[in-house]
Amino acid sequence: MSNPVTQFQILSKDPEATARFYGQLFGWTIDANNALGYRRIDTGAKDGLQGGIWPAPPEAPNFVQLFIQVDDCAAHVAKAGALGAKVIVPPSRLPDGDELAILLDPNGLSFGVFKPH
Amino acid sequence: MKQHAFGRREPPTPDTSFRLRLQAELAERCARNPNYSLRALARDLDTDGSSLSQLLRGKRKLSGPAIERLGARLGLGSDAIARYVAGELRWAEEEAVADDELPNLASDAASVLSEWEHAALLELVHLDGFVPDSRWIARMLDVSVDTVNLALHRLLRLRMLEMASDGRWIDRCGDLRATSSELSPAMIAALASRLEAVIARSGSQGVRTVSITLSIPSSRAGELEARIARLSRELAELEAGAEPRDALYRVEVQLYPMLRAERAP
Repeated sequence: MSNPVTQFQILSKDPEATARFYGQLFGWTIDANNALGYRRIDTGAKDGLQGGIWPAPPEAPNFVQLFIQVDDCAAHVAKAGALGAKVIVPPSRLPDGDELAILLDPNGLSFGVFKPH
Repeated sequence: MKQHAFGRREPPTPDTSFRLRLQAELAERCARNPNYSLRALARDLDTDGSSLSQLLRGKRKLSGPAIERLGARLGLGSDAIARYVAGELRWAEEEAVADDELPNLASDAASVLSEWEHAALLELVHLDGFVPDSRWIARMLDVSVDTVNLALHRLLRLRMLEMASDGRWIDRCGDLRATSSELSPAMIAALASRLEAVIARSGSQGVRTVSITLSIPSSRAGELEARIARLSRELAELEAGAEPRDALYRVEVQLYPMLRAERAP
């Protein structure tokens, strides 16, 4: 199975302001009507990635993560660990059935692996 | 019961309190390694996570032999271990176990220990009617969804909460005790605003405020904290039993030294 980048995630200290800015700039629609209250971004385009906005902790900067689709989160987390990555959030099943994990690559860049429901 | 004790007393430090030394060790290792956790420290100390968790939270007394064994695993010298054993004997004489200072924890761990939403979220998980939905949790705690999600993320990072493959959210932490060195003006304001929000949302029904002003000998000030600690333990007994737990209450006791009268010359 190939592993495409399927989502981007903006981590923002002010998620509402971020949603407002990009919504006004690009006409993106933001929908938080889901069990995590996750601000899902719909760019309205067929091309390109869709994404979302998550709150950044106060001690962290604003940043962007990429999520890579996998067929087995646990296996890819284990493989990433063997390659020198660190696990930030272990494989976790989200309320809507999707599964994700957050890792730091060996250079300290965070990314997510994601298995859709 | 998740306990939050706010107060000031003569401060133990990581140099004198082996429990604080363990907390500092955990914080330091978490800061160096985002993958590190309480379970990892337990493994390194050749003990189980539950026991270590209780030790860190002051729910289990530290015996001299335990300090010697764990101190050796930490690589401490015999002088340091002896100092900790002596310190533990001194603290063990006092009933209240409120800490005066938080160690310099990694930011995630510090947030969990100082921000009540984390403990409250873990407590909700135990309710029979728990809904794994950040919006529901936000309504229950009367905080924003973003606040819930920040707490959720921290708890997942620290392995205190698990979102299991069967959809359950599992408290991996057990009882959590948070302390604060002093009740800052910002904290007072935050507590007051939360109470106002609760009253505004649900009315004053069920809200009880007890406020008394005591004029006592300053020599008995320590007894105030001891009695508050005893009250905390008595309240925790309400969680025992087989009845379904479908209500969540927050009890806050605030102790203010208002003034100390000048002694007549």
